[in-house]
Amino acid sequence: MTNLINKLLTRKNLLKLMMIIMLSSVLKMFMDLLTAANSREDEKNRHVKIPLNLPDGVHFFDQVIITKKGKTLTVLSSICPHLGCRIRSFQDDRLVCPCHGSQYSAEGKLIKGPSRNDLTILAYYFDEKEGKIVVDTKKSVI
Amino acid sequence: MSIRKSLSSENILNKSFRRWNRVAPTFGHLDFSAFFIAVVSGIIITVPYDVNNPSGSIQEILLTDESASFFRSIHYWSAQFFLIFVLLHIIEYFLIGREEKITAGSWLRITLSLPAIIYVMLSGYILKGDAEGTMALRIFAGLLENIPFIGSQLGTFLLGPGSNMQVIYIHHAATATIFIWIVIAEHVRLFWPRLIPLAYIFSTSVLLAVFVPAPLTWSSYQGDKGPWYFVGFQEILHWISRPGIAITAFFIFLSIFFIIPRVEKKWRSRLKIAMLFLLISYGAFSAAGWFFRGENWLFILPWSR
Repeated sequence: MTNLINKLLTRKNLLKLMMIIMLSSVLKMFMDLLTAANSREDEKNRHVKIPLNLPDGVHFFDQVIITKKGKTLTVLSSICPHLGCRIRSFQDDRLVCPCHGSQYSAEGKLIKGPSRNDLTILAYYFDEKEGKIVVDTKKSVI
Repeated sequence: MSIRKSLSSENILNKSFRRWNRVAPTFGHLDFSAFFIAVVSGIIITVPYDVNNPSGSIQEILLTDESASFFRSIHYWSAQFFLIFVLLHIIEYFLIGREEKITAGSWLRITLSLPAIIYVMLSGYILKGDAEGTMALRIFAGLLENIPFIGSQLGTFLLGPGSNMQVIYIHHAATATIFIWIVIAEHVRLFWPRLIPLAYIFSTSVLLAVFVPAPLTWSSYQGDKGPWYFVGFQEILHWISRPGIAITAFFIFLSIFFIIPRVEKKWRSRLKIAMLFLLISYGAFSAAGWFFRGENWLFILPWSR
């Protein structure tokens, strides 16, 4: 046992250990910086404001898809649950993911894979002061 | 040296091989040269490129700055050459069977440089900042998230916060590039590429930059496709609903690559055949994705496009 410890406790091994500890600390600090920036960015783009006076049909707003049929409003995330591509086209009554071809109904129900899930329905509220729908892109409605 | 010795067939063969090697460099030297040119041209285009307005700054380069546009094209073409010659160099190495001469530590770094090369190529594509690039960023982030335990941290480390590209830019221009340079320098035991392969790659890149300048986007006539080396992966992802399987397959591929020099000769050739089969399959997926996919990744015949 003492032999093994003596073998391991060389100057070279100690230097290596010190280098690993130093590099890990630097990496940890870098990751903390990135995580903080990540949450700031998330918060910045969290709420999307959309005008109230939309005509019937499917409308695309960057992170949000709104389907309006009379008084019924469905607010969907435009991010495909398969791999996160942004859906931006509605063809033959279907929302189609441009990257891998997943298809959804206008209400976000999965019609064809590779995705295995429906589109996320997002929470929203009416801001009567501004006359807009405010969508919370981080809050889903189950 | 005696006349008999200098006229021996082995000596003549060696001399002619060395001479041939001087005018027809190995794939390894060609890929180092392509990498070097990509780095130098990349440094030049960091001046007009604006990471906070990537797409706008590239449009400005293309419309108003001829010399920056020229260097961007050289950067693009030399990067494509780099990837192609890396691939050919690996095939060449495996065919000759030289991998066993490399130490385990060095081979580990070479193995790790493969994902770094993919990262550098893909991040260059993402840094265009247009619709194609943003889409590639989302797919890349989605794939990383599927890596168990470390996926989220790895995504943050490699891609940074949200749609901000500063971290990707830093890794593309510095971290990953420096790592690849170190691995290449250790592998070829040279810091700078040789002159003749450098001249070949530089002149070809210049010719291509003049006659086929790199456009801002290819998507107007291709649908939402990634770069040519990624289309096969995109096609595979179309067929599988669990992206984790594709990630696992990639790690298995890397692991096989790493253990190849360390296994028995009989197994080594079997593994090499398996890798060749995977490479051919990937080529077939790429061709299918490239020629038979149209808008929204729908099947389309090339002539009905």
